Amino acid sequence: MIGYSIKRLGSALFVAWLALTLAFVALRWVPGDAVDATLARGGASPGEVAARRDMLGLNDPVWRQYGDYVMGLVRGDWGESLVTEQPVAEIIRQNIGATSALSGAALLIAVTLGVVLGIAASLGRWRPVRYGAEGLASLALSTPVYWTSTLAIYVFSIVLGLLPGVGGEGIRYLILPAAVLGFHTAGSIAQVTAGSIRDAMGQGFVRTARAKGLPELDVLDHVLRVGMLPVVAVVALQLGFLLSGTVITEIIFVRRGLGRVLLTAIDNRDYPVVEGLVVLSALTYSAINMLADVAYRVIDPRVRMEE
Amino acid sequence: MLGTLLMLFCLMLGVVAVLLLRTDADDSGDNGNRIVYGLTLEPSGFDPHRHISSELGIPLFSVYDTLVYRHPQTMEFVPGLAERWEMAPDGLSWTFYLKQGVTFHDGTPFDAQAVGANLDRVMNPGIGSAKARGLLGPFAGYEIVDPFTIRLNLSEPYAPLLDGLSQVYLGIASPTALARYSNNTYQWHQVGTGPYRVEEIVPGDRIVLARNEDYAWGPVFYAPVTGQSLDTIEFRFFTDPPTRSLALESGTIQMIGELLPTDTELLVGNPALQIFRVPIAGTPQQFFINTRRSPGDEQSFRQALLYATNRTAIVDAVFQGQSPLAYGPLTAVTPFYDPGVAEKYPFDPDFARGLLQGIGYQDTDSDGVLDRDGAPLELTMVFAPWNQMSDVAQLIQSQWRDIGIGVELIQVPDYPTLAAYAEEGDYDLIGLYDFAVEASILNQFYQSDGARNWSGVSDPELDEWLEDAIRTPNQADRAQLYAAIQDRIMEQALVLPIRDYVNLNGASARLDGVIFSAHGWWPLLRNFQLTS
Amino acid sequence: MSAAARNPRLVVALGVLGLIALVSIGAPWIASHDPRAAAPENQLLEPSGEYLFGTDLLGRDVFSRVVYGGRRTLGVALLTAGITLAPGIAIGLAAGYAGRWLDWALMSVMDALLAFPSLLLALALVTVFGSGVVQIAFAVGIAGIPAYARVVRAAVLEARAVPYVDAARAIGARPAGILARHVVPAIATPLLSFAGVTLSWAILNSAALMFLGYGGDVAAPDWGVMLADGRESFRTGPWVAVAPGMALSLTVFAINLLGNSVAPPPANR
Repeated sequence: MIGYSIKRLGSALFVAWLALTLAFVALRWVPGDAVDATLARGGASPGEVAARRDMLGLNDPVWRQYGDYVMGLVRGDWGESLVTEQPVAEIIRQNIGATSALSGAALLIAVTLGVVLGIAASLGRWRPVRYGAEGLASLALSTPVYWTSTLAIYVFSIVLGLLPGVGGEGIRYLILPAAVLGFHTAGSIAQVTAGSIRDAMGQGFVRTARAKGLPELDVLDHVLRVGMLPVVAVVALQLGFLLSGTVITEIIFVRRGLGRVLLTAIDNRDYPVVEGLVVLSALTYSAINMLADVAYRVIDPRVRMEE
Repeated sequence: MLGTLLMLFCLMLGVVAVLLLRTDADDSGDNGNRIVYGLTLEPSGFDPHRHISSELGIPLFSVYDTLVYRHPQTMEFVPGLAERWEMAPDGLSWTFYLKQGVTFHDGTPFDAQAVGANLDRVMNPGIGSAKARGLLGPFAGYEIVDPFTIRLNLSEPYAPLLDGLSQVYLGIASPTALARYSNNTYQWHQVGTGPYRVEEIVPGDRIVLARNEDYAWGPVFYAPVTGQSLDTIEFRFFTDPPTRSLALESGTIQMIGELLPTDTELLVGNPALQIFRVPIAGTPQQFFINTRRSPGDEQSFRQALLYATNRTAIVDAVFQGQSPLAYGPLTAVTPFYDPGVAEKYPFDPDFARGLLQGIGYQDTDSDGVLDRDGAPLELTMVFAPWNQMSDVAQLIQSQWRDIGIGVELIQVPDYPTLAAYAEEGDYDLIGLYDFAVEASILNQFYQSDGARNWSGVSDPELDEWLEDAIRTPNQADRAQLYAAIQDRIMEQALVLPIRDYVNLNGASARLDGVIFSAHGWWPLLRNFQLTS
Repeated sequence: MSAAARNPRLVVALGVLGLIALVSIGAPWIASHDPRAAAPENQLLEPSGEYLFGTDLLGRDVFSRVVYGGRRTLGVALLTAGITLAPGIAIGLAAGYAGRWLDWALMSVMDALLAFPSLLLALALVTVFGSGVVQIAFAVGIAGIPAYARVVRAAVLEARAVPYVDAARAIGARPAGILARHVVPAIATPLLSFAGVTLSWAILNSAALMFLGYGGDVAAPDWGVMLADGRESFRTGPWVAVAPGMALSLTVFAINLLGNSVAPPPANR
C-alpha cells in the first residue's frame, strides 16, 4: 500500500514536471515577453526595456531560467509575477477559493443532472421520457458556454429579475454561473452514462439474471455498477476541466478565478504565473485520477489495477 | 451500487457546502452613499508611477492630487498642490510654490521634500517607469528652495511639462508610504492626498475607495461635499463588452465606460439610466501604413487607400454614428488640432482607382483584383480585437475589394504579438492608437527614431518640427508647428484615420454631477452625487 | 423498410446529417447572397423575403452565412475530431490493454497534456504557423486527446477484465486477436458516444478560442464565430446569433443521435 502510494506520488510529480517543461518551452517560443506587454507598450526607451529585461532575468540563457525556476519550485518558491511582482503562491491563494466554489457547485449540478438524464435516456420506461432526456443532453452539448451565459443573464436577471446580475459575490451570484456550467458539463456525462448503460443492458448476464428470477433492483444495481466506469472517467475529466478551464464563465460573470488569472498571464507573457498554474493543474489532475482509480476498484473489483 | 452512489453524492454535497461557506459573504445592503463602478480592462499593475494604463486612472485620479490640474472645461492649467508656478525665461527651469496645510491620508504632512521623493522614485531606473518618466521629458533634477518651494530643472525647454504634471501618473504619493513599502508592493497600499483614499485593493478583482473627510485643498472645479456625496466606491472589472450594459441595467453597477455602441442606443431610452458620451483627446482609431515596403512606399498608393475608404459608412455601421469621423493624426478635441485636415481625403473611390491606375495597377486577368507586373495587389492588415477593430477591418476589406484591392486580415490576440509584427515589419497596415491631451503624443509615432514609429517614416523636416514643437512654450508657435505637422503627415498619407474615440459611459440616473477630467477618461468622483 | 422501423434514430440522424451535408456542399447554389459582402447601410435588418435570416452588424445576409458556415464549421470539426480520435484510440487501447509501465508512461504524458492550457497551445501554434483555422483545429484537437484516451482506456480496462479474455490470454492467444475479437467490439459503444461528445467539443472549443481573440479569418462565415459576434448585437438583432445557434444545435443533435443509434436496444423492449 505504501509502495503504491509512493509510486503514485512519484507519478504525480513526474507529470507536473512534464507539463511544466512543455509550458516553459511554449511560453518562450511565443513572441514577446512581459516587458513588451508592459514597459515597451508605454513607450519606454530601448535602454529602459533592456535594463528591465536584465533585472527580470529574461536575458539569461533559457536553460538557466529553467534551472532557476525548477530549483525554486523544489524549495517551495513559486516565483513572482513578472508584471505585478506579487508572489505566485499568493495569487493562487487569492483565487483558488472562487474557482473551487464555482467548479464544485457546477460539478454537483452536472453529475446530478447528467446521471439522471443518462439513466432516463437509456432506461426510461416511456419513449417521450427517453427522447426528451436525450434531447436535453444534446442541447447541453451543442451551444457554446458564452452564448448560454449571455442568454441566461438576460433572461434571469433582466427580463425575470429573479437573480442578481454579474459581478457580485456570495451564493446568490454563484447560482447562475454554476447552473450554466453545470448544465453544459451534464451533457457529456449524460451521453456517456446512457451509452454505457445501454451497453451493459445488452450484455448476456442481464438476460441470465432475469431468467434466474433475480429481483430487478439487483439487476439494475449490477448494470449501473458496470456502466459507471466510463462515467467515472468522464466525471474525473470534467472536474479537471472545471478547475482549470472556467475562463469564459469567469469573464462573462465577472468572477474572480484562476481561469481569468491564466488568460491575463498568457496575454502578458507572465511566465511564473502561467507555469505555476500549469503545475497546480497537473497536480490537481493527478489527485483526481487517483481518486478515480480508487473509485474504479470500489465499483468493480474485477478491474485489476497496477500493484 | 445505488447505495454507493448515494454515499458519493452526499460526500460531494458536503464538500461543495464547505467550499461555498468559505466564499466571501454577500455584500448586504449598506448605509451610506455607495456605488459600484465598472472598469473595462485589467491593467497589468496599479502603480501610477510605474504602469501605463489609462484604466487605472479611473480610481486613482481621486486618490492623488497633482501639482497642477487642467480645467475640464477650459483646458487651462489651474493650481493643484502647487498654488502658482513660474517658468524661467530660458525655459530650463520651473519653480513651483506649494500649498500649505495639506496632509496625506496617512497623516504625513505635504511639502517640497515629499514632491522630491516622488520625483526621485519616478526617475529611479530600478522602478521601470515608462509613462511617468516620459511625461517629465528632459528632466534634469530638482532643487528644494524652501520647505514649500521646489524647482524642476530641464536640460532643454519642454512645453508639455505642465500637462505631464497634471496627469495621474505624476500624482504625489506619501513619502512615508513609499519608504515603507517596496517598489513592488506599494501599489497595494497607495497613499495620496486626494479626495478619496484606498481602502482595499484585491488584484484582478476589485478596488475600494473611501472618502477622505479631511480633504480641503482641491482644485477650483471640485465641488463641496454634501449629504449626497459618495462615501464609498467599489471598482470591479468587466472585460467582456456585452455584459457591461447587462450589469448596468440589472443595477449591479451604477456606472461603467466603454459600452457597446449598439447597447448604448438601447439604453438611451431607459429612464433609470443616463448616457455620457465623452470625446477623448489623442490619436484617433487608425491604421499606420508601412512606408518601408512596397507598395506602401509610394505616396500615391497610400493616398489612394485613404480616398478608397468610406469612413461615414464605417462609423454609422460599427459605432452607430456615435463618433465623429477622423481625418488626421489627432482627434478634434486635442489642443492644436488643425481642422484643415478634414478637407483632405473625402471618400472618392473613382479618384482612388485613378491614382492606382496612374502608378500602374490594372486588372489584367479580370479576377477582380488589381495587379502590376504580374503580382496581384494583396495587402496585409494587422490589428488587435479591441474597440471593434475587427468590424472596422472587415468593412475596409469589403470597401477596398470594390476597388480591386485585396486585403488579408490578421487579428492578433494581444499587444506583444502586435508589437512583434511591428518589429518584423511584416504588415502593410497595422492598427495602433493612443490617447493624450498633449499633441506631443505624435512624437513617438512620427519621429524617425520614435519608440513606436510603425509607419516607418523618416522625414528630417517632420522630425525638426516635432522637436521644436515641444521645445517652445509659445502657444502661437506651437499651434503653427502642429498645423504644419498634421498637414505633412496627411499629405504623405502616413496613417489611415477612422474615427475619433468617444467613450460611451452609462450611469444610473440617480447619479448627479457626473463630470470627467480634461483627459476624458477619468471621472471626478469628488463631484458625484447620489440622489434617491 | 422494417430495418428503418427498427432503428428510427439512425434514419433521422442520417437524414438530418445528410441534409446538412447537402446544404454545405450546395452552398453556392443555395445561398441567396455573397456571405462576405458587407453592406453596412443594411445592417441589422429583420428576417424578410430577401434576407431569410436577416442581416448582421455589417449588413451581411445571415442565411447565406449560415449556409456557407456549415462547410467551415463541419470541416474544422471533422479535422479536429480526427486529430483527437486517432491518437486517442491508439493510446487508450495501448494503455488499457498493455498495462504496466506502458500504461503509466502514456497516462503520464496524457495528464501533462491535460494540465497544459489549450490557450497557450493555440497561441504557440498561431505564432509559428500564423492565424488560421487549421492551427486552431490542431490546438483543440491535441488538447482533446487526453480526454478521449482516458475514456477509451477505462472502457478497455472494463472489457479486458472479463473471464474469457483472461482465458484467451492463458491459452496464449495473440493480443492483436484478442483486441480485435473481444475488446474492440466491447468498447465500441462508449467510444462512439464519446466520439459524438468529442465532435461537439471540437466545434465549441474552436469557437471559444476565436471568442478569446486567437485569430483565424475574422470575416469568414463560421457558426461559432457568428455566435460570438452575435452576442454583441443580440439585444438589437437576436437573429444574428439565433440562426447559427440553431444550425449548430441541430448538427450536434444529429451527431449524437447517430452515436446513440448504434447502441443495441435496451433489453426490456
